[in-house]
Amino acid sequence: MASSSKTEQKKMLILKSSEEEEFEIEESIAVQSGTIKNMVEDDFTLIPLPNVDTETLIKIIKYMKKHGEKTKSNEKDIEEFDKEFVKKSFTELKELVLAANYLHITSLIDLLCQAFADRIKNKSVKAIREIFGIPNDFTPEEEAEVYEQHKWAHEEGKEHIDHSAY
Amino acid sequence: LVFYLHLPHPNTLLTNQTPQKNNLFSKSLNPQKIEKLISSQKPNSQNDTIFKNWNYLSSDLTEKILSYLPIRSIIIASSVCKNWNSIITSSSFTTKISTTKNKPWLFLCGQNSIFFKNNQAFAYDPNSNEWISLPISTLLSQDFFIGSNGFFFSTSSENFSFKPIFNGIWNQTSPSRFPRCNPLVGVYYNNDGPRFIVVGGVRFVGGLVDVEDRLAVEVYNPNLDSWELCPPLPADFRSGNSSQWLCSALLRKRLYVFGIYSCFVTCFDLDEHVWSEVETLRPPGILFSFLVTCRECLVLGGLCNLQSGPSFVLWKVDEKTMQEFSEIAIMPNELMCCLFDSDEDDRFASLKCVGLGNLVYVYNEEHYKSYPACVCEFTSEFGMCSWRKLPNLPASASKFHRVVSFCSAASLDNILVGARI
Repeated sequence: MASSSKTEQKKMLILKSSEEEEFEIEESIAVQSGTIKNMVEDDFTLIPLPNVDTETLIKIIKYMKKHGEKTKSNEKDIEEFDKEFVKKSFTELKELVLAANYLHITSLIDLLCQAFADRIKNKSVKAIREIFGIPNDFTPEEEAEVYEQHKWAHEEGKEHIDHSAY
Repeated sequence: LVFYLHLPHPNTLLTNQTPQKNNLFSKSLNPQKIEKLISSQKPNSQNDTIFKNWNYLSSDLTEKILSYLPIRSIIIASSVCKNWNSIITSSSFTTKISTTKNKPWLFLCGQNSIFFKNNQAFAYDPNSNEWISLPISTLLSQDFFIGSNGFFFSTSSENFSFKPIFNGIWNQTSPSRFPRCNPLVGVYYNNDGPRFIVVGGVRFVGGLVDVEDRLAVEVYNPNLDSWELCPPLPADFRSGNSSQWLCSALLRKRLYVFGIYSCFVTCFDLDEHVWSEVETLRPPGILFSFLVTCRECLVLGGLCNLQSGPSFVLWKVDEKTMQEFSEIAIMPNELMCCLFDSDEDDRFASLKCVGLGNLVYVYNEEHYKSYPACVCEFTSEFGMCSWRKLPNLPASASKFHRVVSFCSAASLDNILVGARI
């Protein structure tokens, strides 16, 4: 595997999850996160991340490692990786996007937001509320009014809008 | 600083760290610094909600997710809750979306002459490359159906009605001078609001209509619910004056009317209410063609007999002379074959073309392949364009006796008028 002489020359950081698990990562890769980059500039090498749990941190490290080795020739490969990366449950995606937001990893935030949009597009209002756990705070009259104004969007001719929340 | 860590494998989870390990880091970290770091990251009361209750996203993230949605889904999302409604209806969001998702939509309306219930309308959103099936309530069960730039129109033997495409309800106008079926309709804006100009397509009543009246032109003002009679279409257009034989293009304050087969062209000054001289616009080899506005210019799209065979060509037309034209695009042969693949000699007769903004749409109004369509998109200059086939219509599209199509802008701020709760 990686020879020890290689790791000796690259500066390493330790990322610590909220559950106190620690992970070693090259600094050059970890600074894809704006938050980590700031801490490195303040001379930290052990980076505690109390807002990111272990499972999510593992996924984020995987993402950063893959994107850290981006070259002109492996663009397709990274695209494939990104496509597979977002094939996760809504709960996992939610935790990932919150962590990516906290860590300021711009490309990952964009990727995850796009994934969310792709998953909720053409879904009904009820399905979206269920996915995001958002209660309906419209009065029945307000809701009816908004629905009436935009009937064309809520109804279909002969197909049906996707009412499933999966 | 270099650290030597004795690890069996770089990816192994490290647990139960020994005190020695902390000593290795003591050079860079002291307990106070660690404490400061952790407390600066401690969730404040707002973050508490975010990080403990996974249900709520910050409004930055919510706005970003919403901005990736196609327009129709954005409209659905505006009904989810008041927070989303206020994000979506905010002027910064609508401006951003209106600038980025600004390609004109293609509307395809199918009429079944026997069963009005089988009338259907579809809208293609080029920003998300998807067809939307519009609800039945969009259409009136009237005889004829057309659309232009933001409005649907419907004509029957007694009535002329209109409805904004995305909002509102059908409105019947006060009686016009001439009952219409199949007219050309253009929508333009004066300082005080929209006007509908209706050209030709006068309905015969027992064959007693005067020939000249077939060219009749009226302008309707929706604010005053009044019709104004205008000078009729020049007599050269006598032989074919319904929208089957004519097409129109609105550019600046002029309505251009063009004979699809005759190649006659004239323009109506919407301020002066005067028709220009009739000219002929016929590039060599043209069999039939359509005049559209594209990128603020007049563009002619026509089926041509070239040496290589029948091709669909686009020309930019010089408005000043109405005689000069320059070729700007040709539909790739594979796409032609894909859209018109029967063996009939007249297979191209069902070709139709409409355009707006930087898009020109071409489709086949023969139903057997469910109305295949393609689009030519001009990027920055007319020199750069790309053709692509549109996805198929939704499976529910049935056989229609008549298909009508038009382009219209679908900008979020227009659609949301009056949507804020």
